[in-house]
Amino acid sequence: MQFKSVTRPAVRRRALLLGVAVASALAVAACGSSSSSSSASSSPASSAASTSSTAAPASSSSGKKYTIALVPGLTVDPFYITMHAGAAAEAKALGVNLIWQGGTTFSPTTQLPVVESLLAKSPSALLIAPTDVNALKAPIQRFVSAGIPVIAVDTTINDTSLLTAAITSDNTQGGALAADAIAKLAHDKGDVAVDNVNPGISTTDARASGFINEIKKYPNMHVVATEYNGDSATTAESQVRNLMLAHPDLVGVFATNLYGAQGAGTAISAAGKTGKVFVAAYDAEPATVALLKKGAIEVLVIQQPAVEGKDAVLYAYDKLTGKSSQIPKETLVPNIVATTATASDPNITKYYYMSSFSG
Amino acid sequence: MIGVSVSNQTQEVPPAERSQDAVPAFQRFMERIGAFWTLGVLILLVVIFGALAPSLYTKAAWLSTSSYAVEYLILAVGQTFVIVTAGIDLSDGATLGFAGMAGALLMEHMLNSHSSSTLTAIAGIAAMLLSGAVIGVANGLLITRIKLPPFIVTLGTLTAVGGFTNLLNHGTEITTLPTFISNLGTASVLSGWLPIPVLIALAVAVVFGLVLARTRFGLRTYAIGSNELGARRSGVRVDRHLVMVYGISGLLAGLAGLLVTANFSSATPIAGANDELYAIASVVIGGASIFGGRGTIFGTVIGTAILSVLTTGLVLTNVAPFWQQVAIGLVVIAAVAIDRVRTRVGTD
Repeated sequence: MQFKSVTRPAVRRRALLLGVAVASALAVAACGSSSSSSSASSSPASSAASTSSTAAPASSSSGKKYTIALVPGLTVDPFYITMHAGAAAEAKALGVNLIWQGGTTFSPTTQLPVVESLLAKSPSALLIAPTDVNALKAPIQRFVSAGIPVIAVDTTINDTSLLTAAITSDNTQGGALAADAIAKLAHDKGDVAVDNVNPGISTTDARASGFINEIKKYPNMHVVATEYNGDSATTAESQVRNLMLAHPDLVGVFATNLYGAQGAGTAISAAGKTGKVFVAAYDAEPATVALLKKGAIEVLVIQQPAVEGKDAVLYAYDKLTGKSSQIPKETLVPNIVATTATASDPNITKYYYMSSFSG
Repeated sequence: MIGVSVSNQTQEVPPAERSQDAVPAFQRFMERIGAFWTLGVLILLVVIFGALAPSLYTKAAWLSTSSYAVEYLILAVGQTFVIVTAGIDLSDGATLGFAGMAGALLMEHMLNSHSSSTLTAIAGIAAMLLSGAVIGVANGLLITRIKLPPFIVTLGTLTAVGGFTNLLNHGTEITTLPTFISNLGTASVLSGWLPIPVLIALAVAVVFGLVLARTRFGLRTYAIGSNELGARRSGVRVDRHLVMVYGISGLLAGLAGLLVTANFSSATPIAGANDELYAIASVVIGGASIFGGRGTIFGTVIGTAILSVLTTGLVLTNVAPFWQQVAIGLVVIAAVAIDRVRTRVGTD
């Protein structure tokens, strides 16, 4: 009895402490990421600002030098690194400054502070790959209210009326390409499954629905399951091993990202079903390309992030230079398909993503 | 099992004070079945899923379930030691990712400079275990020397270590590894029934289970979790012991990082992300008290097995993905709730 009366308040106090701890730790983490990323590129940004303020009155013909900010979903991913390279090349060609800033994880928690701190720098235009269809609406609204045009690259937000333009890879077409490639390998018959990442991501959801709708065109093929691996290869491996058990006629798995591909490839080779169950995956990151080359996966749908970045910079420039009429509201960039057979073909390898870029 | 007895010593009210009416039959039943109720839950799950999907009783299902459990079991064993001391290690998943990347980066460099494959593999494995242990010891030192709560320290290292992991290779995967590493992931014994990673995980559970249950080190671990001040006054070097306990958790996270890297022939920065939640859930389902002093490796093995069987069973029975998450969450809560009912017999 005595024990109980002593422990309960202690437990409460501890629970309260935990809550405070989480809140304060998150706040610290958020501040840390925003301050570090802003300090990392504050020098080019401030020098750009000073250049424009001094150059603007002096130059008469070329006008002022624009500063365009590009906020990727995360800074450390080859997809966005390749997008950065494409954007930087176009920025250089047009003579504008490009700021590249973002979080190291694909999450609104790390992206929001970066976006908020960018607003204080008032760039000429914001190019952003929103990490959530709803969470980024409010900060984007603040840019628009401040007269800064916003272009969504790759991912988007629900309220597209705020956007000057939205550029994305045609993820539905990419999913359909994966479906056709698996159907061809499996001679148009058998069960297939989707191993997706997490629900609510516009791009991966579009890939999955593109795949599922395309499979409907094959009367002898059926999508028997959609699983979500939560970005864990270990989970994806378990799911695909179990899907092969639950559906003995499984001939294909569509993995919407790298971790699904790693998990599915490992599961199929562990079960000795290589050549019987085919994996179509997405994105030509070094690790997926390695899987494709060694035959752990058979199909790779490759996006063109460099083209997305290039188009975004071009449209922002058009908007700033009064050529709004030239800007398409929505741009869909088509995808490329690679197979294990074509994995080393120079016409394919030129689309592989870059793992580093310093520009 | 020692954990149960130690905690009972501190919590049990002498039988004479216990009124027969105050202890309902159900609670007495729960008390009697003791820690083995979790084993009953596991058996029940296997029977139910087996009836719904007979393919659960196949070699493929065993391999799927046991391979899935490897990474979580190894982390959960380290986590058991930490939780028994009334601590928590939120950083073990992040440590797994860091150790895998650190070792893989070293191996990639060594292979690129034409080191021998064997030497490279040995160096890489050592680097993974060592870097894991270093992070664990750092946690232990921060907790004991600066007197910070384990929750705060390991939450901090979870974030910081995650950042360091991305710094190692610009956040991208490493796939250039010696063949020994990928063979480690695919090799097996007993005509394919026992993959080497599963064997290693089981060996870890047995060795550390004996350490916790049968050695002075284990007894001190329970003593610190039951009553830290008491342990300190009876001569246990609490600070040094806690540093070792967090070191063990880190070391095992490094080992898990090695096995995950071997399994996918590739090191991934986000490997192990959120694993700490599964590890903590496994430990708690296994009957450990989050407030310390109680818990066994046997219980943790059963806890991990319950989560793994659920993961396999829910896919085999075609349960929709969102309901899978709901089911796993509810089982965690139910397991702990039943455990509370069981242990309340001793305290009320």
